[in-house]
Amino acid sequence: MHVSPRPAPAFEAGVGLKPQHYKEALEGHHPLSFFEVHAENFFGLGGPPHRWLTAFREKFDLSIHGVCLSIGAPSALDVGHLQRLKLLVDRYQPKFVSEHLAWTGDSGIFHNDLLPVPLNAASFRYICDHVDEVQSRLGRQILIENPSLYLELRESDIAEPEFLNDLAKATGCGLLLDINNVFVSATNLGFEAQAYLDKIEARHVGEIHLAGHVVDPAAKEPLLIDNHGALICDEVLALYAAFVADKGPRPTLVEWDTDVPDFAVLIGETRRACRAIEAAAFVKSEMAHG
Amino acid sequence: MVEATNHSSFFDTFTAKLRSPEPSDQSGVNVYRNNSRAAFLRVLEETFPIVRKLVGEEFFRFLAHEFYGAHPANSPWVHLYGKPMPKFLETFEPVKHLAYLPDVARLEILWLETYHAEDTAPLSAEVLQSELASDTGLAATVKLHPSLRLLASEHPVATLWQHNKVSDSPLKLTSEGEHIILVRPETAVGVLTVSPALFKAVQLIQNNQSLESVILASADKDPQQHLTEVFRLLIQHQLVISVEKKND
Repeated sequence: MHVSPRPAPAFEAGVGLKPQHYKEALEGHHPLSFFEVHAENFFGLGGPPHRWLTAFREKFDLSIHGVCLSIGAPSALDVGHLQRLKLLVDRYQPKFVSEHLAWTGDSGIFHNDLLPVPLNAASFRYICDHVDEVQSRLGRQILIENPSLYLELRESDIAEPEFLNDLAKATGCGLLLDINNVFVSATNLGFEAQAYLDKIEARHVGEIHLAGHVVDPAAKEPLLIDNHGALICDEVLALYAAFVADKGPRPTLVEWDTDVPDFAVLIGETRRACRAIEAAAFVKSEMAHG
Repeated sequence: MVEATNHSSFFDTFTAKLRSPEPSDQSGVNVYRNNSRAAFLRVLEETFPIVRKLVGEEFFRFLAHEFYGAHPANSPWVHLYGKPMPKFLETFEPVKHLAYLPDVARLEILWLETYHAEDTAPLSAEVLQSELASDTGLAATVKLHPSLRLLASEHPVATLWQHNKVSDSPLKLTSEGEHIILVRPETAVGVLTVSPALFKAVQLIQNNQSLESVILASADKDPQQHLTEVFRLLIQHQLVISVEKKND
């Protein structure tokens, strides 16, 4: 039996799995219980990537995070893409499968980025259909993640938390709450991140993402770019801790995709998240006991 | 119907803004436009490390930009995005004088295909030999490893590719073409250069031709010697996954 050299955190912690960390992460001298991979990086049928992922699956839970399914576009989901995702999910039986409230392409042209979806009654209908289709094809629940937004769409007339709550109710999907994305969108679009989080119905939230962002130095207005390439900012950690103190812990994953640092830095980020939770819990109990 | 029109106008308009050669006057749109282009550039950089090295960082960015303009990604699985690159390079004026470049790009795509191909255990040398030693051995068809890829080039692109993987020094190229076999029986991708006759034999075997017809196809070679060379290649590089004999 593996004995972790440090106490496990108060929640299930994971990090995004990067090839440069494979060896160290697999050795297991860390408190993590799950790893997340981008689905599309494992759409090949074999080779070294699958040997590694198989080895990880033997020791840890997995989260398979899709980025290119484009459920937010009105055109039909790509049959081949969904089939490749199904093969992967069947093969690894991950703990979580997730996608985004976003589109990456429409009508056969793809953009390789998570693009903003107009949130209105019409898009709600086809997005529900797409989530239903994915869940029935995979034979399991998926989680839908809130994206980082850089642009207000005049075509939208439903607020994102309401849209996500209703999507979860209508389809039975869960939510992947990315608190950094909430903070980035709130700053860029000018709304209150805390108010957004207050509106999210916590019972739908199956996983939380934390990550860092950068400030665009060229922008005239404050513009944050969700680059997954920096430490989690203190405001995001505070929002996270308050959410957990209020609604209870959720499996929490630290993402880092740009200028990926040493594995120890990612572990350090999960520890910061843990300490933020402990601090928030302490404050809460102090307040409760007067 | 009105709804459908509204949807498509939003998505079509957004697509046009992303793909426009000129940045948008909306800073938010430009974040998406830049992210999308940067993500495609990364895919191409990861697909073509040696092409990138050969043409230089700055030119590769220009090349990627021009390729992006000419080739919208038509699959959500963007790892396949670079597939039209060899053809694109053939007609791309600034590199037309680098006649070998399209085949270097082809080799890099095949390398990735071999790397990600299905894992199947190759047949051991003992089993293969005993299967083929019998009287009906020559009538057998041999199933080759799913990671096997073949490339016949008029240029020495395997040599060029191998050299640039490990070295920055200039390479004096011959004008000899190369017949290249890529295969990954375990974890490492093998890139082999073989004689035209062996290449043709592997090609025929891959197309389900019996070993007998493989031998007959090389009429100018000594049959026994040719067969020995073919077997040596198949065994040494673990190319075979099964032997299927004709029903007798």
